[in-house]
Amino acid sequence: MDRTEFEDKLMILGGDLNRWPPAEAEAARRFLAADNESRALLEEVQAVDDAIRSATEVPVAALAGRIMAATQKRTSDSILAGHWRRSIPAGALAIVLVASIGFKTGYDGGIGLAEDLELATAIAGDAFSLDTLP
Amino acid sequence: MRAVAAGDERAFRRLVGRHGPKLRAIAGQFLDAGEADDAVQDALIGVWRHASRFDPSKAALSTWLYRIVVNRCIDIRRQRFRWPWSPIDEAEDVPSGDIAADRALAGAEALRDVGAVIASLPPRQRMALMLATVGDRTAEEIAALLGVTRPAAEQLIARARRTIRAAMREPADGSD
Repeated sequence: MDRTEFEDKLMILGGDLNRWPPAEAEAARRFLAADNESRALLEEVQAVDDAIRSATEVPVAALAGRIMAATQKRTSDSILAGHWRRSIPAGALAIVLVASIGFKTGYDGGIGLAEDLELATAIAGDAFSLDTLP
Repeated sequence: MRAVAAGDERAFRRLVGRHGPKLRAIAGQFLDAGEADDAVQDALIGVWRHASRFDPSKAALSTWLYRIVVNRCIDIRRQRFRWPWSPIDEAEDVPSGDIAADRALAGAEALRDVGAVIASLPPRQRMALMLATVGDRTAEEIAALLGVTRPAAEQLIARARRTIRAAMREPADGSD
């Protein structure tokens, strides 16, 4: 590895050698041990990467709270549904279930999740196939 | 992921903690704050709701998450700006990247502000850089996410990183 190649790799793979493919990381470490200027270059790219992360960082505490609240709402909805199943006549239960299915279907369409999953399927194979979803 | 699939909220909370900030930072480069929050929320809740259907032997969970968020960014931008995010025009970002870099370097204020330089990058360079640097995605994953070849993805990442480095190298004498 020479300095040009090392710099090219740095620009593509970034300043964290632990994230490089093992063989290339090993070659880079050998080169770094023998070339002082390359170490300065590595530190510079590490600073660039740190700056990119810092410049784009967004506080997400509120978002995380929203997400967890949404999952808890789903859990409590399930519990509530179980309570209703035990405590109301069968005819009323049928009405509630139909209404719930309608609501659920509408919600899925609203966020476009089905389309997203379809695309994910195209990338990742049938692990996320819409056919397997409820 | 098995714990998430089993309905373990603590495992899901860890998942949100690990991927949420990265996904939000990436989405925030392309969408307004509310849209970015919604995109990340939809992706993560989608995982929670459908986790039991996930087969980790077939694909990485993170691939799914990033695919959903990247796709949402592309779709919303395309609708709003008629953004020509074509998967086959790999070379088209090259000259525009140079122009964007020149513009960024021309303004002393932008030179001091890495965020402004990032925002000035062509969209696909910006996305590739964010996925590589913030999202810790490999060039191969980025190529798949953006619908380009691996060499093209590497070129996008390298050009973007070189632009940021050049901006950071520029002395602050432009403020005189």
